[in-house]
Amino acid sequence: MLLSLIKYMQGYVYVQLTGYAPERFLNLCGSRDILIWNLTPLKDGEGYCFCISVRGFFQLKPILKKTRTHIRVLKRTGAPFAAFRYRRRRVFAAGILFFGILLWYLSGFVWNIEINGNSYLSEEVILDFLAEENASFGTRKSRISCESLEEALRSRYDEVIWTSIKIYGTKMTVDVQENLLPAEEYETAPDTVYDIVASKDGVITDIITRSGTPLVAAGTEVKAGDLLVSGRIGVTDDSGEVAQYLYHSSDADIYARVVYPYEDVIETNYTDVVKTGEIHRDYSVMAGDTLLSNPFFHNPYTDCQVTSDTWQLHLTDNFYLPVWFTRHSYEEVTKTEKTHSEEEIQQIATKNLQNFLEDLEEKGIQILEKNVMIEHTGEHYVARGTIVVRESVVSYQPTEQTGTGEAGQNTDESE
Amino acid sequence: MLGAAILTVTGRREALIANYKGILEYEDSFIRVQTKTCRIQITGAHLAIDYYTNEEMRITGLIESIQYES
Repeated sequence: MLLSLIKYMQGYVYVQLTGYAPERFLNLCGSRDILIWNLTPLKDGEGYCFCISVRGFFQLKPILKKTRTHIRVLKRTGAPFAAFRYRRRRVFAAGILFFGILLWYLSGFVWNIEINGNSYLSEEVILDFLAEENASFGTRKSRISCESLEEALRSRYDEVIWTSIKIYGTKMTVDVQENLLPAEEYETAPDTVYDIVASKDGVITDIITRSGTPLVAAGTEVKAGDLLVSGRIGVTDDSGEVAQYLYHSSDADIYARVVYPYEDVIETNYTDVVKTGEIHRDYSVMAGDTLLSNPFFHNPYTDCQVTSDTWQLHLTDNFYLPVWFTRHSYEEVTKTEKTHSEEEIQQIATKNLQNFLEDLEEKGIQILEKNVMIEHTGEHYVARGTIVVRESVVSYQPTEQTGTGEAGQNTDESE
Repeated sequence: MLGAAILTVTGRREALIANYKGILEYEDSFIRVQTKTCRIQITGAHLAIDYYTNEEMRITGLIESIQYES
C-alpha cells in the first residue's frame, strides 16, 4: 500500500521492450540497480512489457544502445504526469490548495467533545463548564491547556476525583472518575463530631448504636430533625454528677416505620396518537453556524411527529469537522380523543403504584403495608392512600460542643 | 555455501530466487536463470516476474517444474 503510494507520487511508465537482446537488457538493469516490476513477456516472444520509474527510465539510454533494443512508452502513471496533464487548470489547482489550507486551518480547532465516565455530572454540566473555561466547540487547540482544565474541573466539582482531558486531532476526550460513595462516608472531617438526627418522621423500630449516647429506643415516635444519638458522652463521678464530657462521632443503624402519603391522579380523557405509516423526509446541512435547509420542502401533514438524526462529518476517528448532516423524518399521526374504561384505569393505577414501590425498594426501603383506594371524582380518577415502610432515618449533624471539648479526648470542664 | 542460490517456493504460484546472476531466457511458459553454481529452469504457465533487483527476483504464475542444470 505504502509502496504503491510512493511509486504513484514519483511516477512510473509502462513500457514495451523489443530488439536484439532483451534478456541482456534486463540483466544490465539489474546490475545497475534500476528497479523493474510487473515484467511479462509479449505474446509473440519478441520482447517484454514492464513498469519502470521515471528516474530509471532516463538512465536506460546507454543500456538500450549496448543491447540494441528499442523502448516504447505504453502508459504513464503517477502524480508528475497528472500535474502536467492538468497544468492549465489553474482554478482547479487553486481549489485544491484552498481546500488543503481550509482543512489545515480547521484542524487547529476542537470540533467534537466526548465525555466518558460521568454519572453524577451530566454531559451538559461538563459542556457548560468547558464553555465557561473557553474550551468549548470551535476553540483553537493552542489556547486550551489540558492540565489547567483538568485541575479546574477537579477543584470545581468535589465529586470528581480524577480527570483526564486529551485532544487528538480535532476531538477532545474528557475522562472523568467520580466518587460514588455517599457523602457522609468521606466528607466527615476527622476533627468534627457528629450527632445522628432523624431524617424523617416515624416510629423507631430498631436501633443499634456502635458509638454515642442513644436518646431514643425502639417504639419512640420521632419527628424529622429530632436528636437520636448524641456524640456527647457524659462521664459521671462518684457522686453521680457529670464530671466531664467526651466527644466522639455517633455511629448507629436506626430504622423507623415511616408513612408515605400516596396520590396519583389519572385523567379519564386522553388523546390517542396513532402513526399512519406515512413518512416524509427532509435533509439539511449545517456548516459552522450556517444552516442550509431545503427551501423546497414543506411539511404536508397537519399532525406529525418529527425525528431528527444528526451525523457529524469526520475524516478519521479523531478528525472531526464543523459540518453536520441532519435528516428530519416527519411521520404523520392521527389524534383521537378517547376515554379510559374503568378496567384500564385500574390497570394504570396498579402499574403506577407498582413503579412507585419499585423505586422505593431500589433505594433499600422495605415496604410493610400499602393501603391505596381508587376514587372517581368527576373528570378524573384519584388513587390515594398510604404506604408504610421501614427505612433508615440516619442523618448527620455536627454536635454542639459546650466548653473546649475536643473530639475523642477528655475535657477538663467540671460542673 | 557462499554464493549459492536460495529458492523459496510458496505453493505452486510463487517462487523467490535470491543470489542469482542473470536471466538467460524468459518466456510465458519458462524462465531460465543463471546462478553461481548452476542454472535453474522453471517451467509453467503465465509466468510473470513480479519484480527483480540485483539480489532477488519474484516469479508468479502456475509453476509446473523446477529443474537444475549443471
